[in-house]
Amino acid sequence: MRQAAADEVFTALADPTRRALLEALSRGAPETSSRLAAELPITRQAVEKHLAVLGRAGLVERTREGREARYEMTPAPLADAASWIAAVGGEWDDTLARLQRAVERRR
Amino acid sequence: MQRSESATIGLRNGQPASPEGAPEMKVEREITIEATPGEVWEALSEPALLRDWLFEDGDERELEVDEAEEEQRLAFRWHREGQGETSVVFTLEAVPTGTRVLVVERGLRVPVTWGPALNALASVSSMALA
Repeated sequence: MRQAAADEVFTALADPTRRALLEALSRGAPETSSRLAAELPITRQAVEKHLAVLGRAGLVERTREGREARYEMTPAPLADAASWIAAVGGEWDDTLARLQRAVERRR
Repeated sequence: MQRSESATIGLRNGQPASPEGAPEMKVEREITIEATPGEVWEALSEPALLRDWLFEDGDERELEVDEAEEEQRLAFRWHREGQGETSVVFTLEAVPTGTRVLVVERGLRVPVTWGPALNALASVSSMALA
């Protein structure tokens, strides 16, 4: 994962309201900010500010349909994070395999 | 050789644990080696042997050892690039086929939010990459 992108994803996910928004969007269909605001104890304006932060991290995409903008989750950066986890695990697999060889060489 | 793997993310009291606000994560891996815990412990406790397998070429790091319980447990802290300090614990356990070695690294910080849908997404992509 690119460092700049990683930092933006960190920032985007640091806020519980933004995590709640993502959770709502991860259920599927694109949503308008007023529908999202109806689910949360904040105003539509506040929802839009949070969606803009999520947008900068590449986690949410905004499309215009008629009069109102719709927001959709784009989970690629999260997949990057998941692949980072897998990479650390893969390093340990390699390290444990080296330990195994080291022990077996001495038998 | 047997392997199992898991990666979990924990939020302390529902709050992100790290100063950056990202959830703190631990990675767990294990392997079963056909040798006694004593033989495996040698490779963990003798610095010259340890250096040979713990570090990739040229990536030697300083270890701050917190606990060394003979043939059972080795705990240390080290620095990971871009991560700061993380802690590593090796646990040895005698099993019928040899010694089960479990390693757990804690304090890793990854940008992931942890709802059910995202959890599923992350496990799918870790499986694909592991």
